[in-house]
This record gives sequence, C-alpha cells and structure tokens, in this order.
Amino acid sequence: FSHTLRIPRPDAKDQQKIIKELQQLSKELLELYQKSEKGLPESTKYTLPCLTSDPHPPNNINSSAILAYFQEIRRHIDNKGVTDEIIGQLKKLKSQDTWKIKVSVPTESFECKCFVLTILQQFSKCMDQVNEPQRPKGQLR
Amino acid sequence: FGLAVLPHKPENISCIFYYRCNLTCTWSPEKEANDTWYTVKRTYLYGSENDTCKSENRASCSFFYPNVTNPDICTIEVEAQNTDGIVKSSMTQWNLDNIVKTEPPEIYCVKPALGVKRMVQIKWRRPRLAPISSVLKYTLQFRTVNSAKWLEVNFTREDISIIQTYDLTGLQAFTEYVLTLRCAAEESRFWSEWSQEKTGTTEEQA
Repeated sequence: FSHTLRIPRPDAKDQQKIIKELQQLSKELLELYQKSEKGLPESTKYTLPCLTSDPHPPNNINSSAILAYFQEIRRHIDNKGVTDEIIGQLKKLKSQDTWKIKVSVPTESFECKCFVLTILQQFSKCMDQVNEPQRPKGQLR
Repeated sequence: FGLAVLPHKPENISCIFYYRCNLTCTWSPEKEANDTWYTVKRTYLYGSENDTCKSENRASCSFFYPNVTNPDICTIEVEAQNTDGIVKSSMTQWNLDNIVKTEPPEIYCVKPALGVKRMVQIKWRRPRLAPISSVLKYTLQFRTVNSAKWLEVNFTREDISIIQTYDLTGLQAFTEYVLTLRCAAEESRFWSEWSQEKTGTTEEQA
C-alpha cells in the first residue's frame, strides 16, 4: 500500500463515541447469545479484565485484554457480524505497544458456553461502567 | 502497432457512509472508452488495517459491514487499469462521521397537545442508520394546508431512544398543518431525504 497520509489515533471525542458504540453492541451481542443459548447458568469462575490502573480514558479500559478474549471466543459465537464490529472498535482503543495476553477457553462444550456467556455479561457491565458519567471525587456511588 | 490509451486518472472521489451497512465511493469519469478495472485501496481503523474493493467498468465500489465502523478515519486511493496500463488517483482521507447519511425519519403521529392552544406534538422514529454515538440535527418544515410557503425550525437530539418527540408552538388555532422532517448526524455534510408529509390540526380556540 502506497500511503503518505499519517492518520492520528482517535481523539478524546472519538474515543467517547467508540465507547458508546461498544456499549450498544455489548448489549446486542449478549441478547443475541442469550436467545440462542437459553438456560445457561451465570458462572463466577471466570473474570473479564475491564479497567486498568490508569484513570485516564482510553487507557482506563483494558481494551487489549478484552480484545484478546473476543478474538478467542469469536469462533464460538454464531453472530460474527456484531462480534467483528466489537473487535474492530476495540482495536481502535488499543494502544500499539500492548502485550497480547493468552486466553484459554474451556474445551468441554457446555463449560465453553458458560464461559462465553460470562464474558459477554461482564463485557456489557464493563461498558456500562466505563460509560458512566465521571463522578466528582469523593462522591459515593 | 496501436497507440497506448491509458485510463483517465480517477478524480472527484466522493464517499458516503451508511451506518452498519457500507461505505460507498464513486469517482469520475463514469465511463471509459475501453474495458477498465478499478481497485480501490482503503486503510481503516485509523490507518492500522487495509483492504481493497474491485469493480469493472463501473466508477463505484463499496466496503461492507462489519469492516466499516464509526468513528473512523479512512484513506481511499483508486487505481484504474486497462490493457495499456495503470493510473492512480491521489490519496483521499475520509472521517466517517462527516459523510454518514441516514434514511429519513418516519413521522408517525402529529396531534394537538390537550389544553395547550396553537401547538402540536410530533412523534417520529429515530432513523435506524443514525449512529448510536451521534447527536442528530433535525430540520422540521411546516405550512398550513392552504399555503405554499414552508416555514422551518431546526433542533438537535442527543437522546438515542427510538421514539422522539418535538412540540411545535406558535401556530394558528384550529388550523390544519402539513409537516415534514429530515435529519443528519451532527458532523455530517449529508442530510437524509425529507420524510413523508404528515398533517395535524391545532386545538380550537376556546
């Protein structure tokens, strides 16, 4: 590709938009998965990393870890369109120099579905949390 | 031997983004004398990924969902090729939020507000092709049924609920009005088409 234009990373306004899009997509994908996999119990064995120690957006979101989870669970989800959309949005937030974390998905079928459901549930909560208007310091939830 | 006739350099590249559908680019000239193959090279995800789109004898190409998501900044370069050679366009850059186009809003209710004179409330559905992350700007046009003169009011909505409302005030009492609505993402240069016209009548003056 012959490219002379250097594209800047998303600015704060675009980052906020990406998070809004991710919030909507997370609900949509969770709903779709719950419809296709009825009756799955919620599991407490698995945890999706959500926030980093850095308070400043977008570094406050552990987008590279979340991206690694989605790239692993992608093949276990029928709706590839919404999943790929989420992966694309997460790539925009991910800073260039982050390590790719290793995610292992349970191999047993039922356990694998519980894992996927838990990740999607936690991702939806994570996006709600990130999208909450910033509360002034000291104010309790 | 014959004279080599290269394709024209692709110019006037214009792109439109349809949310969660596609990014469609067109260019000129629309027609070439000889068979011409086009390769449209795109970068996306703020330059971190790239792909191509190909078309034959057609000055248009589309990149499809889910590899088109907003917000994003894409670059587009069009390569025209015929049997005599290749000609490239210059590189163009596109901020998808500036070129998003939605379908027209759908007004489904225009009714007087009970007890409030000279006002109607309009209800419509937020367009499906309007990005969740975009504030929308609207233009509402209205006229009395027996007038040809349109009046208009502009407003914005940040709210993403599907059902939206607007209270149009300052009207004549007990009069039938025709209304139509269009919208655009706040940063976009493309307005939707106008909605279907709807009529509604203000309450009688007591």
